[in-house]
This record gives sequence, structure tokens and C-alpha cells, in this order.
Amino acid sequence: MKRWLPLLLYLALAVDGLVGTATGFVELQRAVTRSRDLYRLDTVGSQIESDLEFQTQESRRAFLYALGVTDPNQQLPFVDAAREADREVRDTIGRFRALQAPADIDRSIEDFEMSWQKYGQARDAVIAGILIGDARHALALDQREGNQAFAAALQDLAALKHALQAHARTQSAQVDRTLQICIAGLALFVLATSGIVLALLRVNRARAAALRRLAATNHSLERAQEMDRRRVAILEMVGTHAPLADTLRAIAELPSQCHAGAGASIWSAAGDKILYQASSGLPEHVTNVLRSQAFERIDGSLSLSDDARKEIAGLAYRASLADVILPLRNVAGDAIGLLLIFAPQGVEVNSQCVAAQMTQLATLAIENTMLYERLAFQAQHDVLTGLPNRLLFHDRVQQAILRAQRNRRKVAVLWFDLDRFKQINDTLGHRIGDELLSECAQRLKGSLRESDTAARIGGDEFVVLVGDLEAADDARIIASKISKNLRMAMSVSGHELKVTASAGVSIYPEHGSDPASLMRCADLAMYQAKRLGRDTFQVFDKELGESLGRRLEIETELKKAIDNGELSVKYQPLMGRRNELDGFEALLRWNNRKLGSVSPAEFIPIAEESGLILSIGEWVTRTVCETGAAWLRAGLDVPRLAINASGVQFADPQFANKTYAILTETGFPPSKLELEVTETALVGNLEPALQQIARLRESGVTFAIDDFGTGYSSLNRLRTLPVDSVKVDRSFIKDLERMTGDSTTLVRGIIGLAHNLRLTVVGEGVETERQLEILRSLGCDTIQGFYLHRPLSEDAAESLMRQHIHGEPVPAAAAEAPLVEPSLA
Amino acid sequence: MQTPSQFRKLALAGFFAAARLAAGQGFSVVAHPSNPVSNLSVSALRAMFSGTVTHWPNHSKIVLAQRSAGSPANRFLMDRFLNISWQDYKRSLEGLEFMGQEPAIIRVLNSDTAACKFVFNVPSAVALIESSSAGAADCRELRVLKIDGLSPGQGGYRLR
Repeated sequence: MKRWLPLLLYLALAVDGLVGTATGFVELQRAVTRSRDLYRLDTVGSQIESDLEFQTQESRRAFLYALGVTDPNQQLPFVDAAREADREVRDTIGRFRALQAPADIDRSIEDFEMSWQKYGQARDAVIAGILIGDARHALALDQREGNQAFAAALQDLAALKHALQAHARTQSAQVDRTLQICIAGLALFVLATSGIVLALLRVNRARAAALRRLAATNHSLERAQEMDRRRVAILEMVGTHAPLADTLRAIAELPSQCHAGAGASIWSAAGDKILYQASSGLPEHVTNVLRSQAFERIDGSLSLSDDARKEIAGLAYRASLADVILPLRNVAGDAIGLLLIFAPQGVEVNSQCVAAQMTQLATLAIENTMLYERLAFQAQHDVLTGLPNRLLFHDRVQQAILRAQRNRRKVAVLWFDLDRFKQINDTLGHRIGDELLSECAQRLKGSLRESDTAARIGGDEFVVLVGDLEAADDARIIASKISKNLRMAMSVSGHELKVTASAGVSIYPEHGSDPASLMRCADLAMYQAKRLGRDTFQVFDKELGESLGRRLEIETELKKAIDNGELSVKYQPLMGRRNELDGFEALLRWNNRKLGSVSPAEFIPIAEESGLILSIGEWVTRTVCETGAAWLRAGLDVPRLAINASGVQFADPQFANKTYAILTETGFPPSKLELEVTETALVGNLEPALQQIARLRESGVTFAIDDFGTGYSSLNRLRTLPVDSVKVDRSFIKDLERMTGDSTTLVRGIIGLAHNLRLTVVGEGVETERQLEILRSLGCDTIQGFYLHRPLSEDAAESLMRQHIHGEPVPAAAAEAPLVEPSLA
Repeated sequence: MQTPSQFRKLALAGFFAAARLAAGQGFSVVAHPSNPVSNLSVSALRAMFSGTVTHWPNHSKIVLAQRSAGSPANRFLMDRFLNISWQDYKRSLEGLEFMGQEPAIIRVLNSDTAACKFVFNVPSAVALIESSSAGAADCRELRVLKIDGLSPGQGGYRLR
């Protein structure tokens, strides 16, 4: 509301001024008009009136002169003068009319004109009498009419004069009033105009003041914007991990934005030192002195010694600067740096926000750099031992290879794996295990040159890079030395421990020209050392490398096998005692475009090691169940379908759930599904595997022990395992024909034992009639083998089932060509 | 006996009169512009100037404004128009008065201009002036009467 009041006042003043101006102008115009009229009537009219009176009297006088002369020729000049005076009178009357006087004056003029005409008529008659010589008559006429008419004319003339005077008085009064009004209007106009001018001056002053304030605000705003822009730029430098010195130099430039001559120097804490980082805005000699300084930290704090403080103060004093020392602390309150602000004497830099901003930004920059360096260290180092991790080790190996290429030297990669470390972990606990690893790391580092690198790349796996070797045998010496140092007893938390390590050695350029190859070769050599009895080291050899290459190729291609549709399932019939169709064993086949047909005996172990067996096993289960369900929907009497299950699958806690889900989805009855598992597959992870077997058996799935007799063959375990059948390993079947008796006895024993445990017995790998006869004679329940049937395709298996339904004789051997050696899968 | 100067004046007057006659200017009869008469016959004009007719048709008294003796207009009036001498003319007028008639009012004026002024100031007056004087300033406001329907300068105009 207050804001509108001045505006309303100014508006009222403006309207008032305009009204006053208009009124004054109108009244002034009226006054001028009336003055002009008054002048015309008063001045001009008075002059005309005087002329009129003079001419009137002149006319009368001339006429009277004419009366006194008898000779017409002498009378005529007087008559002419009278006539001339008469014309003048009439002209004067015309001038009066031209004045456009008011009505009352016009009437007076008309009255005078009429009376003058009457006088004129009388005079003409008298003149005629004079001129014709009748003077007596003329004189009588003049006395009778002329004098009277002239007197009347004079009377009307007097009335005209009176009217003029009255009009002049009236007009004069009106002009006086008009002038008064005009003066009042002008005064009002001047007053209003003055008010407007004053208001405008006031507004102008206010506007000028506002402009000055705006300019000051703009200046402050520009300075704030510049500070903000610099702050954003500094934050970007912090965010992009620009060099700390550059970032701190940008921060040190901030004081100069606020105060000319102000500068700053920023220091960061490193260990027990406070180190110079950057400065800006300071005289060069001051910067040089500061750059050469390194203050000692007192008790890890940022407190400067008295000498250091005196030195800084003296430096500032000599440069006519005032110094402010501000500590930089992180969120936890830890001292991470110092901020020294120098400003000209009398400038309170510390009271400005710039000091707070600088403190925040410098703290953020130093803290961010420290965090970044810590993260970078952690990204490349093992947290437990502080050794480089695999990433950094790869990089170091790469660098070493490049150096070796230039210097024609050799590089060795040594892969150490602590023997039986798992037992230490399991028996003494992870804490002892970790301490042991740290001690081993220290011994590794202690065994190496400064230029060599030891890294931890796994639980108990260490790798060592030894560069600049002249001969490969040097690596053997170093490996032997490290093994010896590790073998020495070590005391860990009161425990006297002795560890050994198996090591593998690979050499550049003999075993590879890149870090991955060298590490792969060293790893493989280490496994070789493990196989050779541990606590030794092996140098990689070529044969081992070829095996590794084949293995890696299989693993690479196997990853794409499912998506490429390279896997297939064959069904090998299981025949009963009366040659009836007792079931099918699903056998996995893999035909790769590059590798050709790969034996399950080769790719299944690789799939198990790489974990691919989980997805492959799930694919086999789903394929078999879908096929079985389709056969059932086709009205076939589908026997049990057996699938080999890997120990890795049983280690999957979700194996039972996944299998049951597949059965549910495909609609294949669980009772027709049999899972074959080897003893060794169960041994390592027995309890969880038994739980999963129990869950699946509850749903109707049956289990068989595959390759029985080649593993632990624990009779006790056979008694407790929740299985339904036992498959006698093909090695026993093969020996049946040799008539040695031992195999027959063993097979008879297995069959008898299984039957006593109410387990059915399957003889697999039957390839001859003799083998069949022996097994039948020994009471084997089910026969599987080439002699009866090779693995069949899905269609062939379906045809076999149809023949079996119609009671047709089952051929002793299917016509299908042998594909691969029947195997585990 | 006339002096040489008088002789010269007479000679000049005669010369100019002869020149005017030769130029055919003649004489005009002028009356007041308010006079209702605009045409006169020669006989009526002669009766007016001989004093036998003394009133205008509107009964106002005729005032004869005559030029002084010796002026061209007077000589034309006496010698050629009335064919009488100035003395005889005055005597005849007096004779008429003695015979009981109302005498004619005659005013002798010493110039054509004075005659015009007189006629202008006396509305019932009439004057015979030289036609060359009719254009003068004092004469322009007067009415020039036609004689037998002819204006001065027209063919057959009798007063020349």
C-alpha cells in the first residue's frame, strides 16, 4: 500500500497541474479577448467618438458660416465643408459599426445615425434655401428644424459616449476579474507544475538511488557469480580428479576475487609433514619461500611450531600482508591440511565468506584426492596383505614384458599355492588363516628384489613377477628360495605353523608373450606340482600347454553349445531279463562345427570345472522330460528315462527345485525319471546331496548309483544311500569274458548284495553275447550295451517302444551307427 | 479700347471655344440625381431657361444655375440657344415678374465646377455646363439630362 501512495500523489499532482494549466490557458485567452475588445471599444471607440463629435461640430459650424454669406459662389466652400464634415460623420459611424460593439452601443449608434440623418435633411433644406437666395426662409427653417435636429443629434451623441463609457467600465471590471482568475490559474499552474517538477525530481532522485543500488547489487552479483563459477569449476576439477596441485591453486585464487592484493597458500598433511601444495596471488619471493618450506606436524595435529608460526608471520609482515592460518579438517575431524590466507593490512579476509568457502573446497579437494588414492590403491592391492592384486600384477607383468623386449631379457611368473591351507582355515579358524597369509606375504616380499613384484590373486594363491632375468634357470633359483623361506616355521597367534607351497613357473618369451598366457602357464605348472606331491615347483612345458589349449577351446565352444543347438540326446535302451524294454538312458552328444564330435568323457569334466554343467544338466533334463511327455501324449508306454547327474549339480541347493519344476512344466511323471549319480559325485558334498535326493524321491524320482565298483564302493554307504538301483561299471563287464573268475565273483557279489538291499542291478557296457549270458546267469536285472542296442535317436527310440507294445521281437542290435563311446553322460 | 492683354485673352478664349466647337464637345444639362426628370425637349429647356416654365413636374421650384457672362456656356445659352443678349435676357425675366408671373430663380456661378456643386447642394437646380466639365469630380455625381432623347456626344444632339 505504501508503494502506491507516492504514485497516487504524483498522479493527483499531475491532474491538478493539467487542470490548472487548462484553466489558466482558457482564462488567459478570455482575458486577452476581453482586453482586445476593451481596447478596441475603449481606445478606438473613444477616438472615433471624438472624431464624430468634432466632425459634427465642424459640419454645424461650416453650415452656420454658409448662412452668413449671400453669394452662392462664396457660400459653396462652407457648404462643401459642411458636406465634407457630414461624410466624415457617416464614415465615423461606419467605423463604429465595424467595431462590432455590444448591442447597447449599436443601438446608441443607430439612434445617433437617425438623429444625424434628420439633421442632415433639415440642413439640406436650409442649404437649398441659402443657395437659392432665400436666406430668410432658410434661417427660419434652420432655427425651426435645424437647431432642433442638431440638438437631438448631439443628445444621441452624448448617449453614445455614455454607453461607451459604461461599456468601458464594465469591460474594465471584467478584464480585472479575468486577469485575477488568470493570475490565480497561472498561480495554480505554476504550483501544480512545481509540484510535478518536485515530484519528478524526487522520483528521479529515487530512480538514481535505485540505479546506484542496482549497480552495487549487480557488482555484488557479478562478483558472486564469478565466485560461483569458480566454485563450480573447482568442484568439476575435484569431480574429475584433476591434479591436486591444480585444484588447490584454483582455490588459492579465490581471495584475489574479493580483495586486490590478497592471496593464499594451501598445504596438505602427509605423514608427519605438512607439505606445500599450491599458492596464488602472493609475491613471487613469498611463494618461493613457502614452496621451500615443510613444516613438522606436532603429535599428528596441524599445530605449527612456534618457529614455523614466527616464520610465516615474519614473511607476511615483510610483504605488508596480514596472515590467517586456518586448519583443514575432514568430516571425522582429522587434520588434513592448512590454509594460509594473506591479505593487505586492514582487510578482514577471515570475516568474509571466501575463507569459509576456501576451507570447504580445499578440504573437499584434499579429502577427495586422498579417497581417490585410497580407492585406487584398494583397486590394485589386496586388502589383507597389502600386496598388489591380480589387476596390478597384470599391469606389472605387461610392463616387465615390454622392458624385457627392449633389453632382450627374460621374465618369470611364479605361481604359489599354499598346500593344505584349507585344513589350517578349518581347524584354526579364518583369523589365524588370515594372519598366516599376511606372514606368507611378508616372506614373499622379503625374498624378492625391490624391482620384483609379489601379488595375492586368490585365497591362498600368490604370484611373483621376476623381471630382468638372463636365464630361465634364475627363476628356478628364486622359486627354490621362496619355497625355502615359506617352509620355515612361523609363529601365528601363539601357534607354531609350518606351511609348504606348490609352485609353477612360466618364462617369457618361452611360454607366452602376454600376462594372461604367462599366468595360465604358471597356474598349470603349479597344478602339475600339486599332482607331483606338493611342496615343489614345476616349470611349464609345451605338452602341458597343448592340453591346456584344447581344454580352453572346449570350454569356450561349450559356452555357446546350447544357444547354437549343438547338443543332442540319444536314448540307449535298458533291456530286462526277458528282453523287455525296461528303460532308456539319455546320453548327451555334442557336435561342434569347429571341434567336431566331442566325447562326453572330455567335455563333461570341463563343464563341471567351469560350472557349465549346471545349465547343460538343466537342458538335458528338460529335453528328456519334454520328449518323454510327448511320447506319453502319443500313447506310448514310456519306460523310465535315466539321466546322468553331476556332483556339481547336487552341490546346487536349487537342483531339486529346478528338477521338480521341469517335471511340473513338462508334465512328465517323476516316477518315470531316474537320476544316475556316481559315488564320487556324492562323497564331497554328501549331506546336502542326500537331502536333495530325498526331496526328489518323495516326488517319485528314482536314483541309481552309476559306475558302481570304481569309486569308494562303500558297502555301508550302499546301505544308507537312498537309491533304487546299482549300475555295475563296464570294466567289470568287460572282464567277464576273460574267465578269470575274479570279475565274475565280484559281479556276483555286487548283484547279490544289491538284491539283498532290494536294489535292482543294471549291467552296462554289454557288447557280446557271452557277457549277456553271464550277466543273465548271475541274475542281473537289466542289460545295457551295444550288443543289445546302440544309443538311438528320438525317432528310433519311439519306434522301439512301438515294437515293444505290439510284442514284436526286439532286434538284438539296433541298426543305428555307433556315434561315440558310451560314457558317463 | 481693349488692351493687348485683354485682346490676347479674348483671342485665346475664342480660340479655345472654336477648338471645343470643332471638337464637337457641346454642352450638357445637369440636374440633382434625385430629380425625377431625365429627358427634356429643346423647347422645354428653352422655356425653363427663358423663365416661362418655373416648376418641375413634381412642383418643386426650378433654380437656374447659370454660368457668368462671357463663359462659353453662357454665350452658347444667350447667343445660340435663346438668341438674346445677357442684358435683354435679364430684362425679359424682370418683365415676366412685372407681368405677375412667379419669377425664375437664377444663380450665376463663376465656373462649371461651382455650378455642379450648386446643383448638387440644391436638388431642384439645373445647370448648363460644357460637356468637357461633366467628367470633373464635382460633376460626376450629377445627372446629365438627355435632350430630345439624345445624350451628349450622340449624333443629332442639339446642344453643340
